Amino acid sequence: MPKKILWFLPAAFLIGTVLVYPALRTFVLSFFRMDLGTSFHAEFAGIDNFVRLAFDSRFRSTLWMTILFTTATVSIEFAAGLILALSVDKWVRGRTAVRTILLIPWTLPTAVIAVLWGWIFNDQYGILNNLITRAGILQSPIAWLADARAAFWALVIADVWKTTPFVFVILLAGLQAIPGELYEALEIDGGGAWSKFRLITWPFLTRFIFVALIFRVIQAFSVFDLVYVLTGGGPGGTTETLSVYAYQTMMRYLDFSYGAALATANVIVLAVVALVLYWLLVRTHEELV
Amino acid sequence: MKNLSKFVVVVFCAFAAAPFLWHLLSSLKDPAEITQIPPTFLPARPTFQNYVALFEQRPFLRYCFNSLIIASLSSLLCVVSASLAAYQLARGGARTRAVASSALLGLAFVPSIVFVLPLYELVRILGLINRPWGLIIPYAALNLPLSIWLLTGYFRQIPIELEEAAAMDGLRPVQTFFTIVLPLARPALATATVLAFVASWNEYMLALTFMNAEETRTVTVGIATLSGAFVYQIPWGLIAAGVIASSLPLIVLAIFFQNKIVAGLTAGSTK
Amino acid sequence: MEPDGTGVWRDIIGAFNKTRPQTPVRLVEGPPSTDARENMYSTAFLGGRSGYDIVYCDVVWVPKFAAAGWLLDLTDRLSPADRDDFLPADLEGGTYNGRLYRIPAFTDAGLLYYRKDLVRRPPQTFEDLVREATEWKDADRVGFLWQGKQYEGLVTNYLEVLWGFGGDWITSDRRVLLDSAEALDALRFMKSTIGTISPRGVATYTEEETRNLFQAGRSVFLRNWFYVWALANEADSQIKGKVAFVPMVHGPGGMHAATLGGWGLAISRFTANPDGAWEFVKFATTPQQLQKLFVKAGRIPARKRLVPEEFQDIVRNARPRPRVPEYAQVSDILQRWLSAALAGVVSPEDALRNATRETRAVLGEM
Repeated sequence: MPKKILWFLPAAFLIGTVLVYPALRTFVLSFFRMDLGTSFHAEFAGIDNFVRLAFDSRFRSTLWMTILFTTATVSIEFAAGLILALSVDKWVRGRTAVRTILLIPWTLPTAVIAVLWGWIFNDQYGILNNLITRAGILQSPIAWLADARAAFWALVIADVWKTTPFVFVILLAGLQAIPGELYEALEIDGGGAWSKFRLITWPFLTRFIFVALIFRVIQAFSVFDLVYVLTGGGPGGTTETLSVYAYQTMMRYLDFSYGAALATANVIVLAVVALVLYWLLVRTHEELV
Repeated sequence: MKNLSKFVVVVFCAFAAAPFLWHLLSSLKDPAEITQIPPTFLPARPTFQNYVALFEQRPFLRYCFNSLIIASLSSLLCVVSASLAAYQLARGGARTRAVASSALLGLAFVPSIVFVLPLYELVRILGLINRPWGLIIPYAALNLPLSIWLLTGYFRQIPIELEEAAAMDGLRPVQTFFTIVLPLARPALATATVLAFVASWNEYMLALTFMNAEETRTVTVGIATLSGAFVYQIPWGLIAAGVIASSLPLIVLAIFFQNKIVAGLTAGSTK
Repeated sequence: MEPDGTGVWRDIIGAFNKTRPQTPVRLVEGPPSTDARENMYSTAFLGGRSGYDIVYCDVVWVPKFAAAGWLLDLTDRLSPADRDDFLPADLEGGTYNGRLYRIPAFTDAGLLYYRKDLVRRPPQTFEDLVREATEWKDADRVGFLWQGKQYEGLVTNYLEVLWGFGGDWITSDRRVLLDSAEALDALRFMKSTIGTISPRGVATYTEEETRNLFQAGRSVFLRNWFYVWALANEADSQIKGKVAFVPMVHGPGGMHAATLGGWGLAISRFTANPDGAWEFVKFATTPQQLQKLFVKAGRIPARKRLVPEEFQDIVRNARPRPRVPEYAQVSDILQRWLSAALAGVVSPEDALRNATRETRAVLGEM
């Protein structure tokens, strides 16, 4: 028995000190007050931070922005990923090459991707505005990063660019796991492309979609790098997400306790979202569990 | 249908590659041309001065070195710890495995913002601010949950008969593990290492906060904080060069290890 | 510090290192964004010993850094002669709770520049400004350019108008006055310029955009900092010789006002060599070295005798922003709500009401 514990020691030590302890400390800190006013000493404050949170308009707006961002980017990348996977599935030759090209955006650091798209979205020198006006789609250039709505879509586009490969790869693997005989059998019964998709492809894919969806929703909800580097939460804090707000509160305002409360709130909301998602998917597809 | 799918793939590939190409072209333009309105496509006077500036003005090579050390060591540490734990989980009871799985998955999804401040405190107390181990250890831990999850799944697929045979031959569990099980698990180990390496290289929040001295910065943070010669000027050419230069190592990695990466990403779904 | 385009700081540091080869000072250039550098300093200080030794310090950072205990107390190191020679407002800007933490290097203030070939008499009031701007603007030239993007610059712009109307933001005893009539008038005035005498884009402009437009002859009035003066009168400037300035105009019964800016040098409490650091700070702020800043970078040194004649008056009357440790937070609050009102997302009344409430919440805790 004791021998077995030894195997777990390195992992347990790392997880304990780096993940569990800080998480607990953040959670506990959200019930204290620790900022410039207290000279960085921790004073017990009960649920003061959470009361403040309830009335904090910036918390509400960043939460809403985070939800909007997650919804937009996950929907688009799943649609794109599915279309891509269905298209590439048909190919036999060159599939690996295509998969590699399409995979590259996912392997790049999000912060660098933010810099990359920042240049493309630049309202004066950016190539995107140039193409849009040349093609006559719009008369005047879009102030991508200076307009709230445009900045939001800039973020979504950049995120979709990076994460569609993730969805694509998973869904492609799913499609390739479907036995070809099933399609043949349906064809014999007179089923067309749509029936094939509806009766065979889609049910088989749901398991894969389920996994990818949970992963992506949680990742999108925690977005930090992209927003911090591309828009900084601007213009005017309109694209600020929860993580960015929490980080600014801690590092810029030096309000550690309130920042901890924001981080805790972030996790709680995330947990609720994840559980709801899980429950919804499980309810409709019991065979997955 | 065939043509439609071809079209779709071409469009997506173009979408994936175009931003790079644009940056590649931009990085070869001189400052006068890069701020031309309307922007030109091909550089009229191609120059490498942006790349030269990248290596001279900022210790870019140093950034790469830092990232390399940190990502390599943390992924190694991660995979070693993970394989030990994963093996025990794989060979253990189903209930422990289920509990551990859920706990690990839960931890994997906690956003970094929850860890950053107390972790910073810890790292400072240990005197590891602006030292590589200040990131190596946290990164190893951050990648542990997914690595353990991945490896457990793989270990379970290795037939237990081999280990039983080894036990009958008198080998102790540790020996069996290192001489028989691990070599068989090479593909999964490679996958876990590559994924952990990429995740560590790309990490931003902790690197931004813990490594604040110029010489200790990682590439990811370095590129995001490039600046120009004048207070109000933004050096687009330099930035483009930085993006290309910092992406190349990862692109090479992706090309060589794309099998492993894909295997890792799809591991969860094909159980 | 900020990118040293003119090389003047390298010059100063080089001169110092020659006299003290055993303890050379190293320049670390950071991003141009002030906020980014503030965050870099903050995270470095939170890390303790491994930070920077000397801090290139904005005047608004002093309360926060000092309250956090990160800066060395320099009160007893400054000689009385020097104390007299530095501009009082800038020296004051480097103190917190009566102790000195930052030696000023150069001062800065907001000015209203105007085309004297068009506007005959220097404007005094907001009405003068609107009238002249309306009269002289045309298809190629707008009336009035200012910085309306959501950042610290917006706050400095607003403050000048607010003070011009006789109002204030936060008093020295931490009372918030954003719910006053003057505050509302000020915001309403700024909003009224958008689309009339100021272009719509003004809500996205920072210093350089407005300067470039003004120097290209595309505006009658410009609100900006000292540095524009030297640049506008350079040989290749289109408006050379055609520019004059006054402090920002005021409302009826108000006064001219200029927001105090300026940077200086402070010393980290965690430095391993405080005396060496002090040697550098003393050296870099001597008149000879500060004069280099003026000559090469157009900055106005913070020493009384080095301030050019034409700026004496304004420099003497420049007003500092509220000197509270929570400055970053209250500035962010004000920026957000001002920007929302200018963009028409909320009404000016609601914006100021919310800003007041949130600011009181932040300050009330202390």
